[in-house]
Amino acid sequence: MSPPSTLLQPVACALLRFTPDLALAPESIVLMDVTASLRLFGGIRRLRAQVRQVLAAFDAAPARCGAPAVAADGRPAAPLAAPASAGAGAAESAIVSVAASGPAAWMLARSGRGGSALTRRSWRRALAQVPLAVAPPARPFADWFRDLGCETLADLRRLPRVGLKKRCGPAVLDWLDQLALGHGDSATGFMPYRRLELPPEFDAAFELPDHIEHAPALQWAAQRLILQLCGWLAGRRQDVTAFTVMLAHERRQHRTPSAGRLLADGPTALPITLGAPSHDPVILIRLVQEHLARLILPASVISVRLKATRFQAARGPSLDLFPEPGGTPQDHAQLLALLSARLGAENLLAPAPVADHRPERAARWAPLDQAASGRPAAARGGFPDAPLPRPAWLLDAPIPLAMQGPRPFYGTPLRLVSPAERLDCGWQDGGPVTRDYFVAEDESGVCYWIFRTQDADAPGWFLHGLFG
Amino acid sequence: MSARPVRPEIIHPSLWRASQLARGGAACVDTGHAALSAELPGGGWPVGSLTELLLPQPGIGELRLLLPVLRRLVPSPSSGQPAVARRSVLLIQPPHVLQPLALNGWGVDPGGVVLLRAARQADAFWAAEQALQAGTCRLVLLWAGVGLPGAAQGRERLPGEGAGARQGGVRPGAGAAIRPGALRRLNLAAQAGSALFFMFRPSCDADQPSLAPLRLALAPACGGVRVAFIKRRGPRRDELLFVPLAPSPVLLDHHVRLDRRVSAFDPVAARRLRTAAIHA
Repeated sequence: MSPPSTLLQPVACALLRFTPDLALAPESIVLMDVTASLRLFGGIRRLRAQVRQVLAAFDAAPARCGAPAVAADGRPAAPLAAPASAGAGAAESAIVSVAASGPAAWMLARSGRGGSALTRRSWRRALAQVPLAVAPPARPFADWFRDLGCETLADLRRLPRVGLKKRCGPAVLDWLDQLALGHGDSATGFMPYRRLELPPEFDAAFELPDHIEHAPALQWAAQRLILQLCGWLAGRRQDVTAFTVMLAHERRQHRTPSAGRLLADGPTALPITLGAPSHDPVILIRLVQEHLARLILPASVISVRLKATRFQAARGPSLDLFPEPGGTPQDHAQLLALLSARLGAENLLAPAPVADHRPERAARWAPLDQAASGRPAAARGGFPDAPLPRPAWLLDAPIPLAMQGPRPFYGTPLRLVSPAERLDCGWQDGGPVTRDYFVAEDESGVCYWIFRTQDADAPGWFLHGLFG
Repeated sequence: MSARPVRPEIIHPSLWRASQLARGGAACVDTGHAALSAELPGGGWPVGSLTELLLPQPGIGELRLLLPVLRRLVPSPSSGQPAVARRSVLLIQPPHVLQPLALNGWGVDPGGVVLLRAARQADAFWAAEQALQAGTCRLVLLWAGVGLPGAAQGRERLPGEGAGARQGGVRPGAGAAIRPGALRRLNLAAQAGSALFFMFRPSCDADQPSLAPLRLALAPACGGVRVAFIKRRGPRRDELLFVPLAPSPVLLDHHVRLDRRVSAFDPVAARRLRTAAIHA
């Protein structure tokens, strides 16, 4: 018998995404009743494929105590025990088995073979292949059964019941009957199911098997924690809004006056905020991926911890008959969150205009989250109407223009095609400007926004804007 | 069987002769410029495909060319029209700072626009691809290599370099070559969604191959732009098409234009002649 796997709890937590009816069975097996989930996930085959994908994320780490396996069943007539059981034997990889009842799925997973036994025929075939040692009550008599030439469960069933009861007591027969009837009865002690207790807050950690120096290499560890988070969210019917990834660092020697002491750097916290509440692992994993890609680690990482900081009750799915063609506002918010994760929040801009006559101050763009919270101009009912045309593009810094005779010159001589617009302001905050703005047209017909200034430090003509 | 050739559009809506404009393709959105719509396959900007606009420099009227579309998507609140969707217009790596006042003056709500700055071109392309794939944006504008010393990239440079580049002025620099694979990815992403997707490229890229179904080169002109059709699903057209652009910044006109290429019956030109007569 293998020791209880440390992977069991995390795997069970991640598998909560597929069904709330999930139990921890003895010998590192997770049992899931997926009868009610079949239609949502598109049938037993697709469900099993998705379960395998989740387990693959946990397999990536070499686990010493064995990894779990899952079994699921698609017969709606099995009310109690249509299970997916995750069984962990001594095998390194997860075993997924599917059967029409909980004990049968447990038996298949425990045998280390996996597979499915949904019909009567396939169940008999499976019985003929499962070794006898899988049955816990039969284990003390293993030598005796071997001398009888009795090696599989099918052989065991063929033995006369009365003799078997006399020799081995009622436990073996009870176990076999339960297997056949498909009742997992926790009262008899045969299959003491244990429900997974979910903590009220999600806070999971994962010790890395090796020191990791580059942040993108942490992706698989983060993915594992996110799958757990998504299972936890599904189990508690919550949507996460913000979470934090904490990276604990290795202790290392600092060159400080008190040299020679090992100091641990504080953990690097990576706060991640979602555009809209979600419990979709695809969105969360992509978001974390982009955040990790931008991160530069101060020291190598030895463990990753994920903590859900803000979550709220989950929204139900949309009940609209026809979905909106442009996607929901939540989808758009997720997109903006993803873009800001890679490009940086300071590079995702929305207008936050300031009431100022100087165009370089008025045309202010602020990061999206700040602009959304306080939009003074929009709150007061829109922007002031400019009396004279404004260029769409404003240069970062005005470009001084050469002169050709009396006319400013930019590529070709420029011709003024508008009356002057005098800007004389800024005396109150130390940035006084006195400018006469004109629209100028060059010989090919391109219009420029230029100004003439009489400032003592830099008089002359400047190019300041382009009419898009 | 008659000797007359069968008209191809009867056989299948996707078929057309080389002398005709393509029809029956993807959905199109009216450009708002009648002369231009008449020359485009489908009668407008194609939805869900990559459209390239080639510019000699930013600021020749490229935004005013798209203004009717912008007004429809994000009308300003004062116009009373309902906005199609909030913040559904994405401007990626624009060459300079966009003035919200100018948009407002055009009847476009600046609050509906999200501006993205990217440090590298690869990031800009990635952002465009994500935005198109998500399918929640209605209009995506991407600037690739236009006006290199602009707002987006100038800030990422070293101070000395940036100043030097800025001194070079607004004149276009040689844009970094775009890999054909990147264009293919963008076109595929555009096909996945139903957004209008425009990519601004420098004019010197006109001779580089591209799989965009529609490529237009813009050239400055008095009171509008001249459009050259580099590639379209339809007959080849060598002469330039003059498209008048509505809010002209030109307020005074001291001289009657001698631009023979503009018809005197053109309403814009006629108005300008009247204005000139009044001022004279």
